[in-house]
Amino acid sequence: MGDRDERKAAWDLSQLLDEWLTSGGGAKVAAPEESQALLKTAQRLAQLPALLPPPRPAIVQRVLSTRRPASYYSPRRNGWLRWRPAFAAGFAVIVCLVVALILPPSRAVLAEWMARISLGRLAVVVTPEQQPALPVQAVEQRLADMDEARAVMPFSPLVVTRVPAGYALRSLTAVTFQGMPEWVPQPFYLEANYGPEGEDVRDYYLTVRQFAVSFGPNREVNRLGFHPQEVVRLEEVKVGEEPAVLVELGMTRSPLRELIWQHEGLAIEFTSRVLSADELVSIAESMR
Amino acid sequence: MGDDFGELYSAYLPRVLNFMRVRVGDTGLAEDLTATVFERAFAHQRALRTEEAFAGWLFRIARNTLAEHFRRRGRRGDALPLDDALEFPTDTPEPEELVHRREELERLVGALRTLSQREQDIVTLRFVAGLTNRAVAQAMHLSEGNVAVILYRALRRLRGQLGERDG
Repeated sequence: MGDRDERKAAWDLSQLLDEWLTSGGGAKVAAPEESQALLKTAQRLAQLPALLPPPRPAIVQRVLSTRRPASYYSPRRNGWLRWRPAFAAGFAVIVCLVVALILPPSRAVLAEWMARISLGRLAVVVTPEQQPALPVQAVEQRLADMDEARAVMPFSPLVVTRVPAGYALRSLTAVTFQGMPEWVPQPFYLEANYGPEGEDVRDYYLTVRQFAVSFGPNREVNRLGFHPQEVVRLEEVKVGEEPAVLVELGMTRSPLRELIWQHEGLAIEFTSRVLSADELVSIAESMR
Repeated sequence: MGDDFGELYSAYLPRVLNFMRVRVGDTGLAEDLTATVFERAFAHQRALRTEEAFAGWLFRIARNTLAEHFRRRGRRGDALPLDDALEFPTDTPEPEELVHRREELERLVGALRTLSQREQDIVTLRFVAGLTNRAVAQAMHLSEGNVAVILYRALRRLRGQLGERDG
């Protein structure tokens, strides 16, 4: 018998069975010979419940007495109300994410929370928020040597005592920001450029900037911010025993490596597109 | 829906018990399994939406409970032999009638045991528990068409078995 024939025969038999069972099992059902034989077998099987003794009263009592009022079992909730707490939690998470990702202050807070490294009084922050520009004008003063720098700068600058082979101090500049609050000591920073003879030192062979970490009545100068699109690497390192941050910036033709370190109240920033991270750390450790 | 199913539970108790009796053979064990089925049904009644689905839902629990029992025993196919507890109260039929019934019961259950577990489940649900094909399909997670075909094949095999024994 093919599958299709078998399915049809099975379905016809089921119809006959239903007809016979709904009639209380007494009706004669017209059917082909094969189905009649199976119907007879089915009729014998349908007698099984009558051949079994009725349930003992004890089991009926035992089973039905275990039923408690509906309130005994966990309270029933209709449809989506059952998931109301989950919906509410999901909605709250979405709202928080929207607030965090769309509103500028939240974005800044989130970004700072995600990428803020504290070096004590100085913080290095990677944030998409633009730093507020101060209405200042930079005035550069070329200095002859470190002795003059000590005389000009409002803090005692440190000196690099070990530079890579072939490197020499090529320029020394004190930069004053005019228009900054009075509590910010001026000149604001000292920039020393080192490099090989004959090369343009503005090509960042090695630039060392030093400025004072300073605090005023309502504001402070104690933080270096980077835009996340510029930063390709951010790593916490050690200069001696002190914490420092290594930042690699990818916006130039070759990565610009910066080592930021805080030492004796000064923030010191080493920048080079030539020297490795280890060399920058070694130079920082040579500062006296 | 709460206590709306109270009468249904009472009406279906003998059917579940008979299903278990035929499938496991031992009355004490069948009673324990039946009690477990009803405890689970009471506890999960809120999953039941309509009265029409009651039979399929209750016997799905019964079948799962039975399968769990067989798994735990590590003997999927074997059921215990029908025990003396299947005897009727002495005040009902005549002794000859009682013997005849018991022989018929043993013949039918013996033939059933030659079927696969799934076939036994379907035949027992249909003829012992008295479910429709639709309710059997719900209890077994099968389509009605599949139930009809499996039932058809099982009946053919049972006819052979019972024919041999009767012959």
